[in-house]
Amino acid sequence: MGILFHLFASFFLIGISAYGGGIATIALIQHEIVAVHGWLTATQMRDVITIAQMTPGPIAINSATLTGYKICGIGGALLASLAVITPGILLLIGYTLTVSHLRSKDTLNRVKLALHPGILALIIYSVYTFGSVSIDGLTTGGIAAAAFLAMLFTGRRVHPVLIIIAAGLLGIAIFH
Amino acid sequence: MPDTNARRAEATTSLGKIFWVFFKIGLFTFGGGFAMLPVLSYELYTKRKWIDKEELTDIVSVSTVFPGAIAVNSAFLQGLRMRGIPGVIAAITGIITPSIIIILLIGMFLFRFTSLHIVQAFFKGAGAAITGQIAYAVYVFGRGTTLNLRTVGLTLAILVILFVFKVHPIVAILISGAVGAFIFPKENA
Repeated sequence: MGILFHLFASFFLIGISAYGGGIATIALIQHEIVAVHGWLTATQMRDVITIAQMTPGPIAINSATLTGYKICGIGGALLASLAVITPGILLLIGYTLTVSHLRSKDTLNRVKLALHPGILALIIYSVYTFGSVSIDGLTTGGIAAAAFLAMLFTGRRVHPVLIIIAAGLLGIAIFH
Repeated sequence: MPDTNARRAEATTSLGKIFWVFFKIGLFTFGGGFAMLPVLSYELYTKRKWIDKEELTDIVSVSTVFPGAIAVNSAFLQGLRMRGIPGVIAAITGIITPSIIIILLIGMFLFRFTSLHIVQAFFKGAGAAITGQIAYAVYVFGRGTTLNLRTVGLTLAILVILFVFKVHPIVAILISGAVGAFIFPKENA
């Protein structure tokens, strides 16, 4: 029971700061799961996040499902997934009950404006936390730089998942 | 409740239909919330006319203000508009079910192979690429942020706190919200 409670609490916390398309949660997921609880090793966490990026659905929920499954089986998977979406849903319930229509743009824009620096900082921090387990030399550094440039120059024409798969195959060619 | 202005056609949409449409959106969304927007727009606006362009913009903009997956938040708002609380449940279970099934299958049958050398080699390359993609997200998100002395200053201050004091990353959101509410005056919004 104890571990299920901690699992729920961890992913609830992750859900609170899940902003900006999930990328901003990466540092937080690593921190909670690897540093605070030690449920997964840093490399396992890298694998989980990579799988979460390559499969359909939001990265925060995918990581929650897979981490929860690794720790407590199917019950853990469902609990962690539920936990990560709960904060957003609770806040949305509060919002729809108090604001009668979707258009209180002023308040919404202010909240957005206030949170932007924190989210930006978290994404930058995620480059560091995820990079420190994924980049161990010139080769992996080069792949990261190439992926960055590929995103920059192809915009949305090449799907991000294709870039990840290409880099994975390159990884097999180089490291295997 | 905001669903009072839901339209007649919507009120008659079955919960199964809502579940199915959001199931498809969940299934075809690879790579995070912003990848989902074209799919969401196609299913709800282009194909089914469940909402108009302006409502779509509203849903997306509200979804991004609240924490959590944009997909789930959008499902909440649209489900609520169409069928109230049962609609919310249908839409949310619809959108998260495909990924939960896929991830569970991976967890049950494939995750044990991650220790194989060839799979680790794949993850090494793929993980490096994801680092590059996160860096790209910094660029995209930074471009979407109004860069002025206050936003850059606050971002840098939070980074210092994260890197130097190794605090819990959630502190970044808390500080940003608390400080941001004070330093960004209303007329800036």
